[in-house]
Amino acid sequence: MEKINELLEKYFRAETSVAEENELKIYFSGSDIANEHEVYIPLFKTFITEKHQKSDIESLKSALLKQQSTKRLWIVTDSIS
Amino acid sequence: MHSDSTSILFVLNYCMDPQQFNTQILTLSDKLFRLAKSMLRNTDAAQDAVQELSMKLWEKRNKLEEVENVPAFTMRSMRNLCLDIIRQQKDESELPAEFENVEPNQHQQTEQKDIVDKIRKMIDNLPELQRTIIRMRDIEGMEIAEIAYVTSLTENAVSVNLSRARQKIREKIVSEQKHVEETLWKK
Repeated sequence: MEKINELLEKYFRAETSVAEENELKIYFSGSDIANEHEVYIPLFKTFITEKHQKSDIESLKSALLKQQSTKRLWIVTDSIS
Repeated sequence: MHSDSTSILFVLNYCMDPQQFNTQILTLSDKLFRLAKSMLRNTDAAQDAVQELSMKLWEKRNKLEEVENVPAFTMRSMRNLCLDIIRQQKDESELPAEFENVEPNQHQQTEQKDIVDKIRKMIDNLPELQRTIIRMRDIEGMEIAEIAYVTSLTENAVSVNLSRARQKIREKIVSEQKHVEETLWKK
């Protein structure tokens, strides 16, 4: 628990590495969390759930394909004329 | 005719393969979307911005081949595009931020989800730079050097902003907790 306290203090000073922050994320998504740390569970939980936000890939894909097909047609008609 | 068809082949060979380009963009699109959504605070505007950026990058795909770190370059372009959009919004009338209008329907939600919503709101209410930096670090897991490149700041300035953002959230969480304890005590 000492180690987690230290990591948390470093975290709030923005002195932790990505690896140390992953350690915190793993600790806070586990079930063995000290009472004094419970207040920070939702914070780390938010980081994990926020990463599940996805873009609309299908509409992006079709927009790109449309743009790319008209451009290729351009090249062909260009060289024919 | 012969020379024409070779010139077509020439052009196509020297352009980035669309499939290769699309794969690159589509792999990054969720991350780009989250960055745009955090900056613009609006889902539809974020989706449009990702599409606009993808099309612009397709136009400049030959330049993209010279870029060393394509994901970082793309994130940086996304941020700059969003900054332009925000500037335009300020010139006209400001678009209402979606997040301000969303009221959680408390009855259907568990307590845990309420707190997660509250924390998301705390992050959304931070100034743009702090909001973008804390998200790139704590949600995307990006290195400080990479965030510095995306935001055009020094690594030290990124760390300062990151620590300010985290401290603010910490203060809010702690005071929220005190408030909850006090109301429980009164009951």
